[in-house]
Amino acid sequence: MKIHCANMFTLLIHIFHPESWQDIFLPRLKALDRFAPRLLVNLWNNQKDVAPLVQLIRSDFPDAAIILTPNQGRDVGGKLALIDLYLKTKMESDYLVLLHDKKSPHTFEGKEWREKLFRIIDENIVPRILSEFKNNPDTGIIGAAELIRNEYDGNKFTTINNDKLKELIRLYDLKLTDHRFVAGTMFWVRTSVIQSFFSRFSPLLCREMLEEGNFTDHLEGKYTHSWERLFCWLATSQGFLLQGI
Amino acid sequence: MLINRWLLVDHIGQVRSKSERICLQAGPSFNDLPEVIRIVQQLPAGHFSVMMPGEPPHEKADRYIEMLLTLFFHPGYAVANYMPIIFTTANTTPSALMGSLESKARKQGFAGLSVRTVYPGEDQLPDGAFSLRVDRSKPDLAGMIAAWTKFSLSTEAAQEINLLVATTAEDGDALCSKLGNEVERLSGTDRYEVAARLYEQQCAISRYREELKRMANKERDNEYYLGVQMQERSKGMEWYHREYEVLPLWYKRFGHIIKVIMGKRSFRSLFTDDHKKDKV
Repeated sequence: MKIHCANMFTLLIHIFHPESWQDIFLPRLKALDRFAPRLLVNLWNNQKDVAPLVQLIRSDFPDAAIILTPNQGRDVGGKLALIDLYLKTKMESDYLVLLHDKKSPHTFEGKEWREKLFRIIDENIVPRILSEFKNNPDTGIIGAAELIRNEYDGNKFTTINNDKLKELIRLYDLKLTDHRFVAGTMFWVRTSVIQSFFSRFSPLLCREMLEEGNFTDHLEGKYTHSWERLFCWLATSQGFLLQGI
Repeated sequence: MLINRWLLVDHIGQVRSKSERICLQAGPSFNDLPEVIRIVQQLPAGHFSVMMPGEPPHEKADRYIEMLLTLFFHPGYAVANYMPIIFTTANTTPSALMGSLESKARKQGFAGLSVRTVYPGEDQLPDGAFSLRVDRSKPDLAGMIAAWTKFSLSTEAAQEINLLVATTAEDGDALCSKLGNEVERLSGTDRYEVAARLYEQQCAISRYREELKRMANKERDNEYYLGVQMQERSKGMEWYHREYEVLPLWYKRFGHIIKVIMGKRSFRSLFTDDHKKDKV
């Protein structure tokens, strides 16, 4: 049965590995068909097979808006470019869902981590998430409960990204009481949270700070990985709650 | 394509066909961005570009530049070597605006901009310039192709020939169609074929260079990821030694007996090394 709730939610999807469209996204998105979500996709512009991939995505989802961006800020950079597109085109939907292909080739736990993160678009879980948002106006952001982390010890963040996190919190004037975040940067968020923050700080201006290419934060702190935490704080700093599912 | 025809439009509402290349004269303000994006999303790859304004933008320059950056990300936007193509009019586009746009594009991860300076149709084109605004008469295409070939033989980075037909021309559509016929007629000539092959070869070289860069980056990434994996494994081994290997032998043996009691290991395996120890 098709649930006719136009503009209910928009999926912002960053894809770095072209094969992940069919391996990871297509079956999951087809299962969400009854919710009629809007689809915005970002692909890496320097990918060899990017043109056929654009065609493929359009053949599966003709209304999808697709952009191609340089590999800057990894998935965070892609998501900021998608937020920029969403806001500049004045689209309307109640919630945004941030997703990416999460291959994590540097870790043995990549697949397991991805499966947990993708529970938030499981067709059986989506109604629960929508109901949580509807029944609790204070809920601003929802992610996989198992991946909600807190690195704050009351004074500093117990991560290599501590200095950069503090710098960004000052820069964006975030007032935080809840320092939890969804590791993996995949979650549902109220559109109003995103609109409110990015009307003050443009997404592309935020994207400028992010590092280029492929990297991790194993050896030094990165703005990109700091944004992974910051995304959730955009909601909590506005007085909304972070909920796990 | 060696020769690209562009329909020069003042506003996006003038776009009637989705098959022509569209060059939008980015006026000093950008009121219809959502509609521009909607149209650009429908255009084939590389069929959209922007002609920079001849005067500074009315709105805040940063905001104006951001709107252009947003357009650069669309698959319909024309690129050369992954750099967005921008048309400018000789001596009229404010250099400060172009400087800021280039700097901002770099900060978004582009290698830069690929700028095409457009000259009026009546002018003699300077060396290396192959973008022409066509308002009335047909340009001397055969002459342009000859000049392009000569120039391209001395450089690897010749730009394609761009013909920008203004919709304000007396009959823009008819002119566009005439140019199309002219290109069609020329494509049968030896001169055109030589130029077209040269252009294809240059494009192929650029593609191979990009492929090489991509492979080098991939190799660098693989080495980096391998390094991270080795670090992770090393941390795992350290943990194992710290948590398990330091325990007294009698304690570990006692642990094996508990495993047998719990059915995680066979009794026989306690007395042999070549037997599969753990029941999975």
